[in-house]
Amino acid sequence: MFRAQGAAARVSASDDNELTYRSPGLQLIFERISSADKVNILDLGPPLSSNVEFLSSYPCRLYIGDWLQWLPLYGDHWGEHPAFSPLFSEMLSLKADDQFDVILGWDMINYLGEENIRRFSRFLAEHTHANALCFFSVATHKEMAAQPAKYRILSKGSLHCEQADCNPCPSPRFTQSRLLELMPEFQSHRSFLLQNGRQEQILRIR
Amino acid sequence: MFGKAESEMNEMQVPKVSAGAGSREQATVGSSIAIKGDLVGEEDLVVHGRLEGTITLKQNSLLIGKDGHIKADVRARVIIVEGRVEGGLFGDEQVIIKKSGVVQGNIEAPRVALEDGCKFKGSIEMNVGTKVAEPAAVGKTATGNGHKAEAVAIRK
Repeated sequence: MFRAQGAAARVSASDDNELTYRSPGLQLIFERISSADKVNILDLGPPLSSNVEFLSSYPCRLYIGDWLQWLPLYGDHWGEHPAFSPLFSEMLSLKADDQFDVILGWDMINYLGEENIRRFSRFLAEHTHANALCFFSVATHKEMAAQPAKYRILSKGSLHCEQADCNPCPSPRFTQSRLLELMPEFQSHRSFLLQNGRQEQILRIR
Repeated sequence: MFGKAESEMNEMQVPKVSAGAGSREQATVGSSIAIKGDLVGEEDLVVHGRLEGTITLKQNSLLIGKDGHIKADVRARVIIVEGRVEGGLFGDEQVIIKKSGVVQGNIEAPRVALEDGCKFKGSIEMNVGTKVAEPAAVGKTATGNGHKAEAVAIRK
């Protein structure tokens, strides 16, 4: 089910590479975080001071898996690179029994090739609690930036997206059904279609 | 190099050691020094060299300089990382990872600050045992490009 957020979704755009917007998906995530005594959160973005600061106000253990730092090793076609998926374990340094309640995947799903999404889904499912929620921002426009963005949490329901200065590339434009085909271990919890071309997908394990 | 390290610690507003809580003396491990073993002390320490084992400075601060490389679990009052650490960081007051810092390990401290641009692989234990008021929104001016990570996570 899509919920169009329309004009209200866009808060401000400081320039072409930065965008601040309301994020109903993030709000849903924080409802989950706030309702728990303690949660394990996996942030798949680079370490950002503002996100650490914000999440530090909640009782949680924050894992940071900065997958972006690995990309230069694999050139332009890392999304489909078969050697990329074994790095999921490497980049997260997880123990076999580490389990997450919240996964902040940001826009990484747009940049993994389909086979790596399948591998990543299997990997995540092994480290996910039954009621866990996963946040992904899926591109719906024809084109997207060629590199993933940095997402700063501004509040429980708003994000600041910082895009590297790079050329656009075709977007995979995953529909919800296609995404769930690629991630069969998960099901849709909620989704929100934003005016800025992002569709926030909140997934939970089946 | 010594003077630079000291000035940077002041810039980060590292709390001074209170009277009686430990010595104000500061020791330095130079860049050509490599130490293996367990290090225990009661004075602030600056590491520019290599250190492998454990470090315990319960009442004092530890600064790992840009050339410093530590393979150790570290416990100190305040820990500032500009160099490289492989191991757990346990700060009784605060842990700060500067932009040049590279850390692989877990962090536990009442206050944790990661400067944008640092490399971190591991987990951060937040709010051990206490639930605090939900945070106010973070202002755009405090989070935009070029923001230096003085956005310290402070928990009550």
